[in-house]
Amino acid sequence: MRPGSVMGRGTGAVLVLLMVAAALVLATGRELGHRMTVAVCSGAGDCGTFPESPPVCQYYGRDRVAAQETFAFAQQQAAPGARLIQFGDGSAEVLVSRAGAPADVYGFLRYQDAQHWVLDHSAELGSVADAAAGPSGQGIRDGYLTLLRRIGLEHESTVVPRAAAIALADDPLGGSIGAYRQSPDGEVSELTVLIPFDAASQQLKNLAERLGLWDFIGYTVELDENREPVKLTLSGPAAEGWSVDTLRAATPGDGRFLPADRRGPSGLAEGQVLVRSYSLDLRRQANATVYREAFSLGSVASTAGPVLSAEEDMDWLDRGELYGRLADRIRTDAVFIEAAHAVPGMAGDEDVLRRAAEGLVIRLGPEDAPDTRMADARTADLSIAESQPEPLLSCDLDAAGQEGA
Amino acid sequence: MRPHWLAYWPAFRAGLLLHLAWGTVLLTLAVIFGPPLAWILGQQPAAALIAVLGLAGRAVIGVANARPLWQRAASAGLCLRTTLLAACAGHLLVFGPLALLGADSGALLTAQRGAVIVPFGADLALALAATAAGTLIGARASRRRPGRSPRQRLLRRLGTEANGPRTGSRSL
Repeated sequence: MRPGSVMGRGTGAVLVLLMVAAALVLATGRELGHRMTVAVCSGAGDCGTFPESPPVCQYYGRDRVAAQETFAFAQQQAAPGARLIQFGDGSAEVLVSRAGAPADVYGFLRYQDAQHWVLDHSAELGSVADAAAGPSGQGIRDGYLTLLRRIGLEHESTVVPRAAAIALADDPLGGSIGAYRQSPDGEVSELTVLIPFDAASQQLKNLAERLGLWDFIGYTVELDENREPVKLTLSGPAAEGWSVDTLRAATPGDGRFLPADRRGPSGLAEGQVLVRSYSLDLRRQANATVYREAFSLGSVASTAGPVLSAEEDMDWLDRGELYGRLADRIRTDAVFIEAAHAVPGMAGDEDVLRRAAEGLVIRLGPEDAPDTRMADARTADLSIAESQPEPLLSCDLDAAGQEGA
Repeated sequence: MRPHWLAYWPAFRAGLLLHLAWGTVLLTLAVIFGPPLAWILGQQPAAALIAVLGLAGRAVIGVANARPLWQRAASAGLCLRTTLLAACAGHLLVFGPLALLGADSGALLTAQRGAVIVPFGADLALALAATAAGTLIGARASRRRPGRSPRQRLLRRLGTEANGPRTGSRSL
């Protein structure tokens, strides 16, 4: 190369090759970036990587199916304002909250896709990519993802919200909290309300006692596309000193007074929060009959949804009998699920346990609900006579013989 | 007589190529390796590291791009115009479309939508400032006649002292 010349041909060719190689890596290297990020944060223990397939004990039943579809195996604050929930069947949801607006619910068939999506859209991680343009760069990472999408090399960012989740500000019952989900066409598809015991009627507290719940009882009603109720779930933190036999021992239609708050929460000493839930299939006529007596369409925020009108519209005697019939339906036809979730830093704090339980029952929040990891679970199909809860994750190979992960 | 301004087209082309290559490589490093780096170092230190690396690279390109111009006795104004034009074009070609697409798409997990033009302009100004700094640094390093490195000058002086005054030597 002559002195004072600008650039040799070889140098120019090298630069062109470098550009082409970098462009190819940009187009195809995102998976590498995801793997490295997950490997790094997993090693640091703070990105919530959970086993891809939780080892579920192998026997089949509607309780297992229900548990895998609805269990929050892991919940974490994946990014400020974003809650990542992994379910037992490997699917996941990301709830993105925005101040003053409904949260968007993004659904993913695989937990890894949800995790990659959060990594791609995290503001913190995006600002690092934006820094390639300069200290105050913005939009570079998003522009990169958009470019990939437009040339057909990326599809994950095209995930659209499957629903909007809205926290209840004006609750149907004073003192309770909840949330509802709205389908893209604006219809309520799911409503969850938590009723603390100090806001519940004595008859509802009796029912909660019979179900082995502590501090609050929550109900979730799922509606189909025709706005017909298809499932009712009653759930709440588990009270200590309870068993399924307690539920079965009750006299049919018994609505007698029972002290509902004499027991403490189960799992507190172990640093775990136990949540018990009972799901009734409302497509069965007997269940639907009791449901229609207890619930009616009412005002939920700015729309209409099913509310537990029995708490407001009935006298105590009728309400007691109704809840007794509801307890009968539960103990003869419900799917029972009891899940133990580890809560880091709980250390015997009832308030932390309560917030974690609220976050597990209301999948929208509260926003400051602690991260959880499922430690174990038991399920039972109460429609099967004499059925007992069976472990979902930790199978006893010696006792069961051939049960295994 | 100074060369025609068209003679500096090769320098502009070389500078543009350098900035395009550096911008693409830096973008690749930031997008692919930035997130794991952020987990290790923290988000702000990682972003600062990449930003400083980017500006330092542009300064070095400014030095390399301006050196042959200085050696041809180009004026400071022409050197700066050439290198800054190359830097501006390179930065715009790599990051301009991405910034516009990012403003258009909006971010799903961030609060700001469309607020990318002003920050992009600020970053472009910083990139040009780094390039200008490199260009001026290159002036100081290049203030010597072509072909006369310090070693060559020393050998020539030693040869002159050993052999006596030379006759018919070419004027430097």
